[in-house]
Amino acid sequence: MTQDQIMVISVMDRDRPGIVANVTEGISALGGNLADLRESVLCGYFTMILVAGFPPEVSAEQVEQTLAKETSSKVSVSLADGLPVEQECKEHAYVLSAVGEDRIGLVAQVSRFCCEKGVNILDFASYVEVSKYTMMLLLDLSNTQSLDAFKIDLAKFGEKSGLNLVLQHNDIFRATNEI
Amino acid sequence: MIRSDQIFKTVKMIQKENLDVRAVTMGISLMDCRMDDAQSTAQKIEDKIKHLAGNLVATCDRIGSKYGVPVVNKRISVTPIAHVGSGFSRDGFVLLAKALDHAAAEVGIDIIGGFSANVEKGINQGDANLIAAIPEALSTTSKVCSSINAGSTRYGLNMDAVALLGKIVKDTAEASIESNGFGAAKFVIFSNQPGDNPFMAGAIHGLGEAEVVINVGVSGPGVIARALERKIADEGAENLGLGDLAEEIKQATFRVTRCGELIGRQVAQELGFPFGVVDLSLAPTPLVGDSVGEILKILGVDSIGAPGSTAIVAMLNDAVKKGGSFASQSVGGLSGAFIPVMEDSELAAAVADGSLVLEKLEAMTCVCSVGLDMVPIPGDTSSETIAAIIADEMMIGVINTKTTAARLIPVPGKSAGEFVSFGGLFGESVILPVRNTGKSARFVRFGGRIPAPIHSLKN
Repeated sequence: MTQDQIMVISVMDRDRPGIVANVTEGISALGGNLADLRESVLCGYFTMILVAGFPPEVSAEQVEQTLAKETSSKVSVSLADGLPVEQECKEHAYVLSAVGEDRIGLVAQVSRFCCEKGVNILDFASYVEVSKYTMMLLLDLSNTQSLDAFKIDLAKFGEKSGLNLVLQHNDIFRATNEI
Repeated sequence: MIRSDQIFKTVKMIQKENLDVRAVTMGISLMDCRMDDAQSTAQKIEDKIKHLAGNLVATCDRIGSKYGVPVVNKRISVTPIAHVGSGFSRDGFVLLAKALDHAAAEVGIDIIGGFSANVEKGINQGDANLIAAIPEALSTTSKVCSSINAGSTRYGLNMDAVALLGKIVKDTAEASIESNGFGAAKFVIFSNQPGDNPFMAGAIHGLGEAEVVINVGVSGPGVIARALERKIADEGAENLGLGDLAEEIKQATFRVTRCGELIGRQVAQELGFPFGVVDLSLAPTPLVGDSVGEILKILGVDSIGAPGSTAIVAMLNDAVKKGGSFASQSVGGLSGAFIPVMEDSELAAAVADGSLVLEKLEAMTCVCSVGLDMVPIPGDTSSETIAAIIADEMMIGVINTKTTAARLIPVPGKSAGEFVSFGGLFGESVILPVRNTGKSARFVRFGGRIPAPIHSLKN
């Protein structure tokens, strides 16, 4: 298995039955072994990212051609840098919820703020309700020197951007919602 | 990632409903502090507490800030001092109380509990000297709390002790006459006292406990009240039965308990001490919106003390235990709902408008987690009547195999209907009338012991 080449595959298409089946059948036909997979459907569009190990003789181009053949799916394949590693940052994982009036540039503002503070966004979900836009971000604050200083900056940012921001440690949500 | 509706439920609980951890209490064994004389024992006690609890407050604050859930009270409970100071004189015990007070001030905690004795079956010389020291100890210290266990389901009720304690309650109030008898607000008498309760005034570090342990008291009743209000607003009172509301209390308690245990375990881990228990008790504060009385009103009585109040307290107490015990790995202490009159603004208001009387409070204590708590009574109530009120309350616990307690404050120089305020967490209230006063002396004077109930014979 250590001889395998690790490839990252992304697939995008209008949602319909059979996309996952087509893609994964194609991968197994080429001798690929799936390491991980996430799929999501947004506004009727399907998107999926997969990590798989392939025998050394299989090239990325070959995988891309096989998976895109006879489908409308947009497929892109890249060779991964080394072995897949799951990010673990339990100690510094915080959930930021941000709620504000829906307008252009909200996500850009929030993500720029995080970027400027050296904060990595691990997960992001959002939805619109009437004219209210809600974002949920899972943040890795391991590069943040002082949590208190970050909270102060966040409060200032919230005031400036008109967003109602709440930062809370991820453990709190796990403790209160998981059995 | 957790679903966004779950995130918002938790965010609301923390931001709008003031979720907190009510108490982190470090239990410390003082058994090894015994020296030849009271002076050097006092010094050893101070040194040990300062050594072990020096980082308690800072650690609680840091963990509270990390999780955005503040730890409101940091406290210490110690081995019942009667065991540590047995053989010392009354004055020796006062010295030990002052050592506890100094140590508590030095490490920056709010209150220290454990100036205590267990006299459920008899009073030894050490117990007697400690009890004699209580009025002076509580009026000359600011952070020390005292508790005496006077009875248990196993051994019955020590009425000699109860008679003596009726007098001690009165003497303690009178010794702090300049603060309206505040000393008595730091003194509580128990039956079936637990050794791992983190709440004051009755916290002790029981003899069966480890060297050091961290116990936690969960957030107050406000979170439960808001959860019920939201449930009723969302679904309409006409569509909900009491079973649905009990279920909502269970779920809210589950979340509250999980937060408490998370914080407690983190504090214990950082300090390097074992984690003990989560106490599920809903402990009100005088703040508006942090009241057990308010929950009673939400659940359908227009006045607290009206018929139905006892049934509601019973349902609340049970739902809290069910939700909390499912959430926690180790539940202990008192774990239920408190109804401390002065510390709960709605209960105090019900006393002021006459809807809540002592007898109804006593009935409610049959099904709440503690007892007659922070009840101000007229200063001229006789010590025999006070002892008899204590006896009634203790026997509710002895017979029903539950903890009960009495924290009565005979406010010196004040009568029923007058107002008393201790400020801060200790709160304020109108003084409750005590009916039939002076009619229990013959009962109390019999003394001796009320035998243990038949169901104590379990072996």
